[in-house]
Amino acid sequence: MIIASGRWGSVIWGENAQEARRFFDEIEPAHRKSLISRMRVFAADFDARKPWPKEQFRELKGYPLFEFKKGPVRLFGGFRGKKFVIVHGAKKSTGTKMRREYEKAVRLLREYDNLEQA
Amino acid sequence: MTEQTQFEAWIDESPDNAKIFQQEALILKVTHMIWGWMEEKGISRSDLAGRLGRTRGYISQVLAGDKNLTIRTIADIATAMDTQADFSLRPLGGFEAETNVIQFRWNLMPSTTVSVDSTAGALVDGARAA
Repeated sequence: MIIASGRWGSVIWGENAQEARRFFDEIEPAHRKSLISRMRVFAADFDARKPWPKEQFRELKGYPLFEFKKGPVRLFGGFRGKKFVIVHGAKKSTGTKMRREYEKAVRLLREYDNLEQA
Repeated sequence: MTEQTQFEAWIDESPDNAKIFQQEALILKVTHMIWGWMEEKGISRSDLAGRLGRTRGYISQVLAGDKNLTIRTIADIATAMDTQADFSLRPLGGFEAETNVIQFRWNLMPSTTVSVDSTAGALVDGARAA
């Protein structure tokens, strides 16, 4: 599913990976709206790897992942050519183990890659 | 799949969605400009916090785009960075207008003019840009 596309590339939700779609549907509509809007701005320039403030978008240390933030919502994904593929997300709150979410995102991204190659 | 993206389908759904997009695009533009200026001038988050009499966490919230900044706050941030903020309005239409509805320009006091090309996200020397 193409979430947003710009002059240089697209932001897509890697929904072919099992479980990846679920989180997108679970994001509250208010958050989803602003997230999609942000991704549109992001997609416009991402191929040029325009730097962003780490508070909004950053590479996670120790994981082959990038994190996209808006309020308490964190989305995880990676660059694949002219696409930025999001496969998982988490809402940061008490009791959320982010490490576990990162690991799940890595697994889903790998699953996405395998399905794309197949 | 057709070329219509989730975004385009969504923005067609209601005028409210177009409004939200304008809000988010402007938030990102303003925060990106503040951050770009900090990077360019080597101003750390702690430095800026100290100049504003705020905490480092506050600056992070500003840069995350989670704060609803008032015009007064933007002016205070600009002053703290020895700059000033301007803005202009332009008609809607096409991608350029869509993402550049309000263009801010930051001036280094007192003489050198530096503007931020928000489309490219680059700091442009005013004299060269002119």
